[in-house]
Amino acid sequence: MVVSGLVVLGTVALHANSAPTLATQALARTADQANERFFDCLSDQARRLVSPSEPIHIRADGLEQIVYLEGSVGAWASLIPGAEPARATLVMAAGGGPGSCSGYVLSVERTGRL
Amino acid sequence: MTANVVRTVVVLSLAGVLPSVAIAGVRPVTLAVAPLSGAAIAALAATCCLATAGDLWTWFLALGALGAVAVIAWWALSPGSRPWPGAPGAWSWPQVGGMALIAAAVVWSLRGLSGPDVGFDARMLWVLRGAWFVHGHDAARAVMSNPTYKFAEPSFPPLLGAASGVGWVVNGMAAGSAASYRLGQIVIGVLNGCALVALGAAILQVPNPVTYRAGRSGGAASRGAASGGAGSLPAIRGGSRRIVHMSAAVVAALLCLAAAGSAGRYLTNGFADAPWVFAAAFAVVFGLFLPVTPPNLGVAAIGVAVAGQIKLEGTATAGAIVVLVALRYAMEVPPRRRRRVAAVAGCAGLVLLAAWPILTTVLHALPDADTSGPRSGTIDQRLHATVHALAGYLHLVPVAAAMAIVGALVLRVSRRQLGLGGDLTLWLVMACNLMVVGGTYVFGTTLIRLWLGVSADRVVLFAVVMALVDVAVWSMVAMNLLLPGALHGDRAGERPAAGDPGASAARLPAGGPAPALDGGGPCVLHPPL
Repeated sequence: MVVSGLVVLGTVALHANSAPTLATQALARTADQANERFFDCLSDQARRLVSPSEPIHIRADGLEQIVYLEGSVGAWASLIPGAEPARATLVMAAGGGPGSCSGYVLSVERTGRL
Repeated sequence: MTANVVRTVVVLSLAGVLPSVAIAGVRPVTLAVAPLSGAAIAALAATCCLATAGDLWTWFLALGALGAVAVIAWWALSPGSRPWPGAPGAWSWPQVGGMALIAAAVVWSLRGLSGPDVGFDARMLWVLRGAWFVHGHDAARAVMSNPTYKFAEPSFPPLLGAASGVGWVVNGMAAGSAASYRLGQIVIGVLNGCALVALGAAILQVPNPVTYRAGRSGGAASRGAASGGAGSLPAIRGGSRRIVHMSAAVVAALLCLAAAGSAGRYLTNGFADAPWVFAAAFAVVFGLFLPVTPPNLGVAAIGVAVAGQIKLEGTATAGAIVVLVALRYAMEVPPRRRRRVAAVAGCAGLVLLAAWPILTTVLHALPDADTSGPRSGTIDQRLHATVHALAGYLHLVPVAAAMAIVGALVLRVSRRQLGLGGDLTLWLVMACNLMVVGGTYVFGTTLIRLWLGVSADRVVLFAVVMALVDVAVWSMVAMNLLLPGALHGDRAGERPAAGDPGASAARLPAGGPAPALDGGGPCVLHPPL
């Protein structure tokens, strides 16, 4: 019983720290780190375009871009429901050049009136 | 960043230290649970912020001060409730050495924190929500029913975001900055580490026969013996005692390594699965395995408070633990008045756990995106896919079940002599957790294969850790039986060795003649070594 218990615990501990397991985790970590750089880049760009107190809408081409935009600004921007009027809309679109984030650029559309 | 993390953990610990000492006693495990108590207070502060007015920091300060004043007043009015001097042996070298080994294993497991690794869910769900509470009641209230924030699941519990939010305020960080997410990742990792150390500390206390007897005799003896220090192993001779402590430390460290390894990168990437699982795991060991003493129940209460405020399946599992701990207390402590105490405490615990879900329901918070809307696939298809996916990660459970059956058949008497509760409750909690998780998948609405593909490996973590805990506990029970001078009596007709007080002491029925033999005092016949 003692031996089998130690073997079970030891095997799980060793397997979890084995080279293949760690390599798989490292791959996932690398992907998440790339995601994180993308999120932070979008957040920095958005901060240059809108202020935290400004009620905004967001718009992007697909669900994936919407999710990235939400995750980038969700903690500090004032996102309001689409049914409510907003002075500004943060728009994410494919594009290059200075200030682009992995092939995407942000811009802001202002309506001027509510 | 290191200074920011230290400041955050110190502030959380300061808020949690007096309540932790009051209910868990002066012993090494209290060091590990103090930051967790602070995080639980932060979660409560977030709940109050959402329910009434103000912001996270104001409520955190108010609740922290209230807790400290309440504890000091309690100690002043009831001197017998003071937890000092500490339990005999609680800070002995073997005990501290065991804790050091456990801490080393945990620190090594947390090496992933050295680099930035904020997981997708950590950013979108768990850390992000701290910003709402930092910004105050109006912001938090507006988010709850704002469909734009559906991606962040506003109805999910607040503990991890609240703990991160406290760190942002303490360090003057802007919510939503890259540094704030990194701080959240590390704070969550540190909370994981604290919960793992508490789990290891629980295993250190398993080979402790006198705990049971003294724990029944109440008062200072109960509090002292419950700490599980070296001095509370009088039934075992010196050399054997050292072997017991060393083996317990090795098993505890192995358990921590195995549990941390099972969590994989979810241990350090800010996800919510590992922290609630480890908190619930040490609550199970302290509340359902170790002897029923106030300090042990106190540690279990902290684990439940943490697990129940992190994730919804943690809330459900914590509720099951509360019910089982209350039932155990009611059954093991005979007087009827104490049964009422168990019922009242259990109901109070359930009400506190339900506070957040009830509040979000009252506020018409957005429903969970995975369980609302039209269902994808039939129930039958979803059930089949769920069983297939979860079973693929539960290889360890049959192994633990086999050990539990053998242990129940061969080592039952030894387990009772050690004062340990039966492990049926552990399996009940595990079954409850799997039913909640499985039921959510089956009756949820999201595309099942996609959903299982991104989450099945982490939602089984509680079952895996419970299996590891059961293996560790039975190993300690078996190891204790092998030691010369340790407990005997599983085999019919076995006699204690002549001149071996430990063997005869261990045969005393729990709660029976022991207190009388000891003159009603704390272990007169078996003074702490």
